[in-house]
Amino acid sequence: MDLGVLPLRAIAFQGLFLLIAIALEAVILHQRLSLDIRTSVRYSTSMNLFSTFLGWMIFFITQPLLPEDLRIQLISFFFFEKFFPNIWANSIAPSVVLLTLLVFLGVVFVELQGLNQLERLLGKQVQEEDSVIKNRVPQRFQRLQGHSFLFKRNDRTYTILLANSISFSFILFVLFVRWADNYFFPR
Amino acid sequence: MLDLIQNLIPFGISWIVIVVAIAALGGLGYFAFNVLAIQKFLGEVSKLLGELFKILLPKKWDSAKTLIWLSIFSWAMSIGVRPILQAAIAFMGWIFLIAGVHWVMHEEKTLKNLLTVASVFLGPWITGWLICYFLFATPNQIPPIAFVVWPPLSAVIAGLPKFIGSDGTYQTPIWKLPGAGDRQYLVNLTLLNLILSCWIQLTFTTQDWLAEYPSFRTDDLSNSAFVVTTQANADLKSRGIDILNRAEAQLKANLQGQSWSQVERWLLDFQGNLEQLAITVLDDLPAARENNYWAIEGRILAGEYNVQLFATWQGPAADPAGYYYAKTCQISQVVPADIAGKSAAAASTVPAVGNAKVECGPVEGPEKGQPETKSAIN
Repeated sequence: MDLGVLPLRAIAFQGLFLLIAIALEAVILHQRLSLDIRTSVRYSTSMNLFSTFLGWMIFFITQPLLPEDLRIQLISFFFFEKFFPNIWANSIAPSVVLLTLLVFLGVVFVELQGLNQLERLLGKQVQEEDSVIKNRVPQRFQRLQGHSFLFKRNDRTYTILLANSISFSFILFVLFVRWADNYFFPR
Repeated sequence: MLDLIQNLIPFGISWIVIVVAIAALGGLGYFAFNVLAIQKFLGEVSKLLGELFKILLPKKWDSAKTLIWLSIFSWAMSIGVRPILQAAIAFMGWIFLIAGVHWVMHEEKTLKNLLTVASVFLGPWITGWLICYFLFATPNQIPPIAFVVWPPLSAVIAGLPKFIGSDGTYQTPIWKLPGAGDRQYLVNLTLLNLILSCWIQLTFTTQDWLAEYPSFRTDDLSNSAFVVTTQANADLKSRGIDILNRAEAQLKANLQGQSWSQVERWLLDFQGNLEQLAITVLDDLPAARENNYWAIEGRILAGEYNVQLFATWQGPAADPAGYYYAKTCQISQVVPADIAGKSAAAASTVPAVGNAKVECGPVEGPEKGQPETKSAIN
């Protein structure tokens, strides 16, 4: 076995993104659900690790089943951070955008289910609403709450959606910084 | 004294005898000192051995060290018996070793402190690794599954004590449901180890991909956001070099020793014949998915006759322009000068005078971009 090439950067990036997501989502959980800091960090850790693990499982199962033309795109991106000009070349960018959106929705769904199951496992009553401690929510977020028309105030679906929007946005921002660094200061 | 010696032996030599006697006395003293030193050394060794035995030998029979000694005993017993018996004894030996190592890490407080990093006791991961090795390793290799199963199995070992309570009346271990805090800890412990397992699997997936596309290894992977090249492998050559060497052999098989008119006919339909040659060469390559992305191309250079062969990489590469390798072969008629001055054995490898011989240069490249395949003639 030749261990000259190791996916250490992937591991480092995933570790970084997990830390970002756990920290940001813990803050949101703490602010919007009646959880103390320690509990919200633990919940956030469980949710994020769970969704990451499910994501890996899906990746490992689907990767060998992909059609060869699509699989070579994945491999090309993995090793060279470039897509490969074949029949998928034109549709790869929209596919990635669509896939990211699906991943986001999937993560929100999985984390919501994960949170419910976690509370069940820990023997806590699942609190649906009215659980927020009002004065913990800063002024600027209260304004945001009032505008949410699809969701009840303090709804945990909305909380998870908000938490993931923030963490995904921040991770995208980090990826953008990395891209800009490569683009403007090529090695 | 001197008189006595002088009586016994002639004068002159007696002094030598005295000198020798003094030297002998000195030697004896030195020896005595040495004996003392050796004695002291041996004393130290025996003290060390005593302490070592105190560490190695169990103080009571129900001890982790008993188990480890049992495993060593099993190993000793398994030497030189029939294979089936050996397997059975080795099996027991492993059980003793795993249980013993797991126990000794809890029994010896110094060892336990040594293995505790940031209040996390790493012992279960050592036991877990021993179990994985025992379950999956073969004499030749450790399969990937052993590495992938390792973290979750260790998490189970680390978590199990939380499920064991104590019976109030009899002080015997009983099954218990962990408290809410412990359950949260167990969930995160399990999930974290599953993620570690995924990372290990990703390492193996990377290996699989590199086995399918071995020439990636010779390309520049520094742009990747996923992998790092930890050691450059100078022995690894791009498959393009192999392909061109095989193409050279195939070209020689086609043309070497042929009559000149046959060669000219072959060159007349150069592209068609090259396609045939490419199919033969690519079919013979060791199987890998990347073979689909190699193309053999060629052109006829000016002059009589210089053929340039290219192995072009048409798959993913660090440089989107791609790259190619080139090899130039000269096809010429054998002239009498080729055979002149050669031994009969050497001359027999050269085709008859007037027939074709093929001489190829080394593989050049990798060159950036795509090769120029337009022939100078035709």
